Amino acid sequence: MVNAANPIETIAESVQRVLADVLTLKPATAAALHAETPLFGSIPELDSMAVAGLLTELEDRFGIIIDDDDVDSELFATFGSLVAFVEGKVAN
Amino acid sequence: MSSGFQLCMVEGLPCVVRGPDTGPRLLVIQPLFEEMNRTRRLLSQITARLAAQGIGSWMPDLPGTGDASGATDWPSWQEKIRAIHAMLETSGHANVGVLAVRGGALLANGFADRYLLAPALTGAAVLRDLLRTRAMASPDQPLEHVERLAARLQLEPLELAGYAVSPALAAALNAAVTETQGARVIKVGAGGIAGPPVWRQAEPADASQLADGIACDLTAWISTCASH
Repeated sequence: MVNAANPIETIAESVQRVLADVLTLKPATAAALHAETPLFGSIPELDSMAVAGLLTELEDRFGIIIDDDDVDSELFATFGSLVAFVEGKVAN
Repeated sequence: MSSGFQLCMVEGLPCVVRGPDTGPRLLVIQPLFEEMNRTRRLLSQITARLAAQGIGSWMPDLPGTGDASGATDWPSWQEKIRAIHAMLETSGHANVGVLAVRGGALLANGFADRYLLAPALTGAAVLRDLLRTRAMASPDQPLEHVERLAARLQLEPLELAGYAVSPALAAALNAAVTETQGARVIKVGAGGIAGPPVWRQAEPADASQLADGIACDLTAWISTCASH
């Protein structure tokens, strides 16, 4: 599985960077993200408008296409669910 | 060297002009739609640094965007960019480079010296982002509306992120592909110049270091452009 966003990072690290960049998270908030961290509804910067930019940035960085059918509330439930989704897309 | 700028009317468009018109010159094609607003500060930081290096820049607002009147219309965007580029080429002795950012890269096709900053590779991606943003703004069932919005946009104009997008503009965007061959293509972030993707940020972060890095690379690049 090739991480197009940055070959020397894990996908989780690259997703963390995308979240930090798009949502302008404080470094401490970004560093504290782990698989069980709830995202949507828990991180105030992640509102419905930010989701659109986040999806597009994930597409750009990882060279993936995200179908709008793929997007539901489960996707942004936790940091782990988002990483698993991106890993699945990258593997295809 | 003054860090100030002049606001001129060029080809009927408000145009931010910085730096001397005796040295190398740059036409700046800004990102499209909302990304333009988010990138404005970064571009003014970059062009101020270039002016200090003796490089002049011309940055117009496209018709119907920023402070420019007129309709958001793809052929008129192309025509204005070509006209300003031609004006710069005939009025000076120095070479004219093109700095195109994000969706602006779609309007840079055909120019000899192109520096594409974090270019959008297809207009379809730009349009999808606009549709998504509008879909997410709907209170119910986010994103399920994207397909329906796209279908409506084939028949009637829609307001997307504050811009009137006509079926003709949508069709032109869907057909537009950025030519990267022969251009200097610079990414921002991993694999490129380090810095935040300010065009994605609702409240763009300060990107002074990114501006330094880009201005430095641009300065080296423009000296390699062929003289016209």
